[in-house]
Amino acid sequence: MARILVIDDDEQVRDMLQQVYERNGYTVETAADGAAGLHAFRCEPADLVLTDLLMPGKEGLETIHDLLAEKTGVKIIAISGGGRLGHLCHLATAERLGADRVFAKPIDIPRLLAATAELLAG
Amino acid sequence: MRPPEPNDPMAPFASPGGDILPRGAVPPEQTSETTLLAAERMEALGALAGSIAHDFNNVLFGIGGYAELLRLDVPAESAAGRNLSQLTRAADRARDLVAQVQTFARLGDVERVDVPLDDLVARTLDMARSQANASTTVVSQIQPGLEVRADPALLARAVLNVLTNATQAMPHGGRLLVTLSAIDVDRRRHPGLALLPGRYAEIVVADSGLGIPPGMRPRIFEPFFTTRQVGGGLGLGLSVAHGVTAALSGAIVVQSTPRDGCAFRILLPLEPLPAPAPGTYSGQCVLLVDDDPTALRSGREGLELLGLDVMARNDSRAVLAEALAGDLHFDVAIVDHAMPGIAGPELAQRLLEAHDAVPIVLASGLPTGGILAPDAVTAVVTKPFLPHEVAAVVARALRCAGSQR
Repeated sequence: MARILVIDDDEQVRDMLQQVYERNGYTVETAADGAAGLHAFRCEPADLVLTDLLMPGKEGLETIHDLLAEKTGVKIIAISGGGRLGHLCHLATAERLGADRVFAKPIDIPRLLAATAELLAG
Repeated sequence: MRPPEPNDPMAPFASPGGDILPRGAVPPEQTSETTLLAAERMEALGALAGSIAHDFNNVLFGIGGYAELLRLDVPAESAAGRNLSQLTRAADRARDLVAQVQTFARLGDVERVDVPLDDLVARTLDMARSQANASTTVVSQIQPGLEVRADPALLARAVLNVLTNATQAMPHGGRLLVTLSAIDVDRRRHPGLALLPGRYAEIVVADSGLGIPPGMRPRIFEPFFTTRQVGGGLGLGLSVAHGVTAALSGAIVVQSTPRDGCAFRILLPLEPLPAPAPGTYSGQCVLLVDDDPTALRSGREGLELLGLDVMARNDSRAVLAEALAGDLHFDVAIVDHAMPGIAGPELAQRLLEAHDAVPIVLASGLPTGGILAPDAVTAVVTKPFLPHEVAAVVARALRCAGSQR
């Protein structure tokens, strides 16, 4: 059973995504920021990490960079609610960094599930 | 946007194809001071809008996601199932609204292709015509063959919003004049227009409505600013048009005489901003002043790729001290608009006094396209700029400076 790690500072987004993935047969771990996410990943690697980009503490781009440095072949989906205070949403940067898929929030759940299944099958 | 106009539409235009606006005229009420204030207001609104949009997207993701989860447990044909569909529809509508706010705040990523403007104007005009009162006379004069690099859907949205604003200003009919042509913009004929000199496509949308009262003019591009009755619209249309044109290094300006209709001019650069190749320059020096380390870093990266030397400084007072001491040598400067110490416009002025005729680019936190720039400023770029954008602006600024020497 594929294992998914959800990293997002929004508690409702974490809870909702956990339920969505669990209802679709995945095992889900959640973390509220990049540092906690990396810690969880190192304790038990996930097959796919879905990470927000704009988070307090360790933010998403750095988290993606560190996850890829672990060289576990993990698939990464980056999600973002867009910029705040004039900062561009970094989805394009996340893609260049190596994220396999990027989505702007709010994300259509069936699309997210399709992308997840596709990445885990590939 | 504007109050309804009377049944007897005035004819503010001399003749179709005649000059609607004196070419190069800058509306007299736009002094540098008021425009800078307006620009600062737009920046603050953009920051607010961006912040709200980010949080709303999270909230909407929660609403949509939980609704999706409920669907798994509720039969679609039940009353609860139908209500769930309505909930999702409401969330989708909210998402569209937030997307418009983000367009104003220029926070999205866009894909740009060559967009034929004649086709775009004709199509959007058809759409606007269908919304207009049947007794509206539409006159259009469209020059073929003009293209700009843009996101076609966003640009169509911007033009349609301006057209819709015009038809709504004439609920009982009137005259709508739409022209598309190419014009040359230069600093002398267009003093203070924050556009780099060059060839621009100009889309003019002029109506014979009541016009915009002078007191409202500075605010019409603000998001959620509307004079319509409750339920008549959210006041995002012109904000979106402003955001889209600013993102394209263009501008949108309005001219209106009370009771005599109003004309919007959308200016879009026709010469594609050169995307200079790596190593285009050797040795030319850019002075980059910004108190934000992230902006300094990303700006430096893009410019150094082109072969430019970059002096990155985060302290505007220190920069001025160096300049006055004659210790600062550069070919072009990019200064942040809002900095502690000496703000961008003043620094630009002082740098220009110390370095005659050097091009100075003002980088502003949020949409400022179409504002009047202080005289010292060659161009205004909207932050956060992507490296290739700032590189293009610097390339043009250097080219313009070179041609003046």
